[in-house]
Amino acid sequence: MNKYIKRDNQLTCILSGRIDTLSSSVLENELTEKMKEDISSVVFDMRYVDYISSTFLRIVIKMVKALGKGNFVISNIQPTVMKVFKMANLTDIVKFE
Amino acid sequence: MIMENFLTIPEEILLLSVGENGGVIPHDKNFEVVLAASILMDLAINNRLDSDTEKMILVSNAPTNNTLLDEALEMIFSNKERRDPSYWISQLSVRSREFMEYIVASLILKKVLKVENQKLLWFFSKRKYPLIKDKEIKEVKLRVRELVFSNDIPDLRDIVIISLLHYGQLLSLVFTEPEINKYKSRIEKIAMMDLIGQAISKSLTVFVSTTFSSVTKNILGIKSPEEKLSLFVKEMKEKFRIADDKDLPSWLRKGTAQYQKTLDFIKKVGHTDIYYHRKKDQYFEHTLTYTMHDFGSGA
Repeated sequence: MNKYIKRDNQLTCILSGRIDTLSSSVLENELTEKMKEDISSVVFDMRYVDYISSTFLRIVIKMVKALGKGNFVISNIQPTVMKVFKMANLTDIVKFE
Repeated sequence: MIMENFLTIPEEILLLSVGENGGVIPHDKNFEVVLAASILMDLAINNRLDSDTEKMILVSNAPTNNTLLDEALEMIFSNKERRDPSYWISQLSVRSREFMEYIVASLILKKVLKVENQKLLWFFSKRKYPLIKDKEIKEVKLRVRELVFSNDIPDLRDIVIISLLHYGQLLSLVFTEPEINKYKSRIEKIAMMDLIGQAISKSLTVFVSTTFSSVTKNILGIKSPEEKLSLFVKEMKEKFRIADDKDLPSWLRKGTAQYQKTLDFIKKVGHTDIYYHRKKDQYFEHTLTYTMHDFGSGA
């Protein structure tokens, strides 16, 4: 289950487990709701995520596109998941911390 | 964040083959396989298929309400065995002529294209789409060009289209040769941005690297319809990488009643530039001219 913390205009999403098509769809719906609030930057905390599929990468692209490169951050990513970002050549457009 | 798109990916790919002043640019040999791959891509974007770094995943067979996509969905989900993208590209490619008919009909219905004097034309005097809810959607060729020439973050569907054109070696439909050379690195970067895009598009390389035999030319010198059909099947198998006869559609599979009907049609028209339309249960000659009648009263 994903947790959301909103501080000022920043939304931190603490994601967990496998993010496959189904959980990506849940995440996308939750984000759609959260983004209706006044949000200017988003952090995906991925310390508890050990698997991502293609659908999750699409959410990331949409977030970067919507918020701008500097306003979307992925933090605490595990090496196995980072490998997928590298495969998709997304390390240039996503900010990692 | 779920967006409804005015056009499907296969529709946008087909539009790339319609010239500035209308008329279909003669299709490159890769066009049919790229079109087939674009169907898989659209199903992925619509969350019916997914992929990770290793495999294609079947997610849902819920109808998309698009005839073409639902036909493909039914084919994929009714198959008991798990298959890789290249198998499905091959299976969908065999039906690509039939699918093109669906696509053109849909584009006419959406008032993007029209038919005049048996020629396919842009509905408007320039290549553009109708306003949707008073908003203009940029036409695919213009959109893809602008994206590649900029440093903008791409939309998902543009990633997919660039990926298809790149791996399907059809970039020349959008760019000049000097442009392809100049923006090669940017194009490659964008093409890699979607995993399923990568998986599907990379499967394309199996097809586009194939050197076709001169079977079609040889058909001209052959008298018997049986021989013509036999060579046509051989060519389809080679072109779409179908190794096993059981993977052929019934109209091309020897021994079936449908194969006999195919033979009868070839006897009637005298050549094998034909296709079978499964839904209509009819054979057609492949042609680059069009009549409104082809696309039903709705179009």
